[in-house]
Amino acid sequence: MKLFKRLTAIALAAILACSCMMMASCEQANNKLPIVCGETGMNDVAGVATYGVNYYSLGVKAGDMAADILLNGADVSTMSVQMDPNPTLTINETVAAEIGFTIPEAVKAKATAAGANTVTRVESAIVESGADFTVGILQLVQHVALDQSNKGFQDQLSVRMAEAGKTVTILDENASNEQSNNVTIAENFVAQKVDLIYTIATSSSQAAAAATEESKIPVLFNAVTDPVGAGLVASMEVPGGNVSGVSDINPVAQQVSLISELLETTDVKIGFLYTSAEANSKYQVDLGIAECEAKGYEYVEKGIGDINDIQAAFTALLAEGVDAIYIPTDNTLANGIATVHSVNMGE
Amino acid sequence: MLNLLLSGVTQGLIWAILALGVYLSYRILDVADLTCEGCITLGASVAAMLIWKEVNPVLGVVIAFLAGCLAGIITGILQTKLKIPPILAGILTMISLYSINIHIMSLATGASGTANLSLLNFKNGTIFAPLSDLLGLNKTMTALILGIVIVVLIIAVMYWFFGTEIGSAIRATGTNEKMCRAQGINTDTTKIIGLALSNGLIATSGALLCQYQGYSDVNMGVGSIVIGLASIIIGEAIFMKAKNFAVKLSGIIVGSVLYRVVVTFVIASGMPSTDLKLMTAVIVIVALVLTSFAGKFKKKGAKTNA
Repeated sequence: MKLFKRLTAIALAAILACSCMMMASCEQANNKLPIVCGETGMNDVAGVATYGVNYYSLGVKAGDMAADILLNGADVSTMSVQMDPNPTLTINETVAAEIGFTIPEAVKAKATAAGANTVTRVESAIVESGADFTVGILQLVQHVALDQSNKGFQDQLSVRMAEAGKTVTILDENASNEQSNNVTIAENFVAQKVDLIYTIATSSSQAAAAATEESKIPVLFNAVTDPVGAGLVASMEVPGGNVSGVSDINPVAQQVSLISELLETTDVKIGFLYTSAEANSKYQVDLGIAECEAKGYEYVEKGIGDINDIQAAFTALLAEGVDAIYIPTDNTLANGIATVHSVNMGE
Repeated sequence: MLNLLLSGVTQGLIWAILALGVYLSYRILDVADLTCEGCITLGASVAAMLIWKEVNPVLGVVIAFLAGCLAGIITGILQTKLKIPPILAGILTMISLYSINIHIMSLATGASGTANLSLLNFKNGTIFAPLSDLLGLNKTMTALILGIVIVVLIIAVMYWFFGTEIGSAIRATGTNEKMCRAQGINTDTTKIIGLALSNGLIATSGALLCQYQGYSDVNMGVGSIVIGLASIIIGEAIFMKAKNFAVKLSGIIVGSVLYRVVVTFVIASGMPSTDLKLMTAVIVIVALVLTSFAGKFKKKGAKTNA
């Protein structure tokens, strides 16, 4: 009798262990999901395909706006907020192969191989002193995408200045993610009476808008996803004040629909992974959910607090049985995108 | 040049309120309280949310102060009643405030997960707008005057309060806790009151700051504890021989203003912006070294006199 009990216990334990292993292996197999990211830089690391904005191109666009203001006397209050007009579809066959996902031919055909058109900077147009114009750049933090919009701006501005036979002095400042420096740098530009302030990221743009209340120095922002919500402009079409710029809002609706195109079915369940503390990410997820509701896709959203939550949030989405994951343009997840990929690979 | 100086002094005065709060916990209570980084954002979030709700901005600052006190009380209870080590207690409140601040800002917009609340469309609802009209001055000058008035008021109240029985008990707690208890003082209560006042001041600083910079952001507290500590240390380096409590407090204001003015001029000097953090560290190190060297000389002098 004792022996029988013991045997039953061993058998039960064995069954339990086996089922655990099976569940684990099941999870392993399901772990590799196609991911669509809000931005091409993130797509390069972890995504299979995306419609993306290019921060360099956005910077170039802002550079053009700056040149119009400085050289042609354009009025900021009537300059509509610009967006990436024609997002390009980029596919990432490396990641697709790694996760064992086949990108449909229809999507492949749509993807254009054309890369971002870079502008050749005219070094002679940017001088240290004695220039026709002075432009202050206020960037929130050192970050790959933000650095790109800074470079694009400077490159294009130098080209336009050279064409007009003018020169510009650029004061390039970075708040190093300390927001007290936002105010100090913005007020410093106002005190130095710069001709234009170019701001990169939301809080820096708000600080510059507050600092130029009296002087009305034109402010052009970049990398702000929701300029109206951030109180920078009255509307996207007519800003109404001394502030306008370029929004980095990605084509969320097109990106979400892309998931259905990739899976070749409209019967999809999409998991939204984003940082709950980032207003811009939340805004994009809301746009994505609106698209899901319009197209009849199922969806789940999971917000993370910081980079350490990626693994847990990913597992939670898997448990919900999603078919694919959508990650908006999100600073925290952009920094942790390599982690997202390794979690997806089951590492 | 003058504009730069004014801008630096004005920001320094707003940050001085935070520095006074940090001084209260760090020097008077002798507790390293890290609630600060969450608390300044708490003050900003509460004040900004109330401005969105069209509450009188003066009342908004008072409510922000009370919210800060509440955060301090929680840190105090974690430390004293729940016996959590002070640094950890502060960190725990600080990280909780991250979520709470988002909730507070979400109250204004109605959308969950609001991490940045803009005040750019509520300029007339801020504390500076009516004053600016009244005095006929621009925003920086108004903030400068308001900053001086508030700072003087706080120093006066602190000077009076730390002379009262309970105030003296709080000071004694920081100086010698065991002796304090032997005298029949409940040091748990004095610590909680001290931390509440400290964080109330920090939140007040945040409430004014958000109205000055035009927004409240969940990450705006990053680096604020360093600014507070640096201000205290610079102030002490300058007012080394001060014995009078009011002079010591004034020293912190001077320290905070000096720190911000130095940062302003470092930025204006055209130094590569990536070196900003390094410069910040150098400023603090220089101030620290000055204090310790001066302290040594003082001791030597005392010996020869004897």
